[in-house]
Amino acid sequence: MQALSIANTQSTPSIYFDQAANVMIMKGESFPENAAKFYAPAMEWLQEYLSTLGTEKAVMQFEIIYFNSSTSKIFMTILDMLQAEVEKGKNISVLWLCDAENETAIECGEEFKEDLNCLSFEIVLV
Amino acid sequence: MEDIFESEYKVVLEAENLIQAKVFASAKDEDHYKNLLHSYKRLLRQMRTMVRMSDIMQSKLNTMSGELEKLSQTDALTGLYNRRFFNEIYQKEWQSATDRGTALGTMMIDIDYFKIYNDTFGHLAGDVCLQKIADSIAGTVKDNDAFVARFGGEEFILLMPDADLEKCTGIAQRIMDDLAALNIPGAIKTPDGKITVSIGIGMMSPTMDSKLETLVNMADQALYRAKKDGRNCWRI
Repeated sequence: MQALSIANTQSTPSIYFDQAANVMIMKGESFPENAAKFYAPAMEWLQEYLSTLGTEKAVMQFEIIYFNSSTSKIFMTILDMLQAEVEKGKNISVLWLCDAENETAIECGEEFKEDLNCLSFEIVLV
Repeated sequence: MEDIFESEYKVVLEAENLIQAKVFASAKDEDHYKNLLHSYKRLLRQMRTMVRMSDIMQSKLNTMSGELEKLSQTDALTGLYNRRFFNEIYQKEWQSATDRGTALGTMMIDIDYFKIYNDTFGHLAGDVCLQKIADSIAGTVKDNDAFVARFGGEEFILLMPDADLEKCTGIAQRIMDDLAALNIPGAIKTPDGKITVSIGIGMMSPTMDSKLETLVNMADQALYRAKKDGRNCWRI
């Protein structure tokens, strides 16, 4: 399975999903005109990756400064997918990286975290 | 309305009542209905979270937009309004004075021998001097319903809606007095050894036929006369 690498733009984040390293990183701002279309390759990659993932530890890392409502829905869908896998016994955790001074990103991280139960979601101040 | 999702919660309540009332034809139908309701409640929770996050994000962007607007109106060095914003306010006040038939006063303030000051003490000292003078002018006019901006290098401009000539000359004199009280040492060639300013005052009641630039030109020409008459004075 090939790594997925998408460069960032002014309105979309960089995406780097790597099966070999078991890391999935999204970084930047996310205001795509069509969030479903923009994130479609990432969602497809993730579905395939999760279907082959064993018990090895996998980490998804978000470092998203600002994002629009459609993006928040995509992120919730991703978190739901990851949580469903954790319920099946897989070892996945999420890191929500944000600047210690970016209260908005911290608050949003807390909102995402609140909706989860068994998926580890850690807010990391950088 | 206490909650923006009030209607959605009514739907949930109605659905739960149906389950309580056991209105389903079969256990299979009831299970299916319960599952759908469970999904609906989960999606509703997601929707709530999305709205909360969107509100947080928009509030932040709104604050940032306000800060950017303020930055675009302000002169970075002195903290006064900049020329661009002055032009905007000037046009509005001009229109208002034209409509109401009232007078509009303006004052062009130029620091005397500032080039020599910069050449003597350096541009960084010049910047500090500009800041002190800007603070002094802003302090003098703060209770006078006057709009003050940095017009150019060492020039400041004041706009005074509804002002009469007596008020304008009174403010001009106070600007000079307050600045003199600061005792900012001038450059060697400054006549009295202190930093001073020259002021040109323009005043008119604009009409539909008046040209927008007339008033600023009047103040500019008065400033020229103040400079010609030896500086450290105001002229009309």
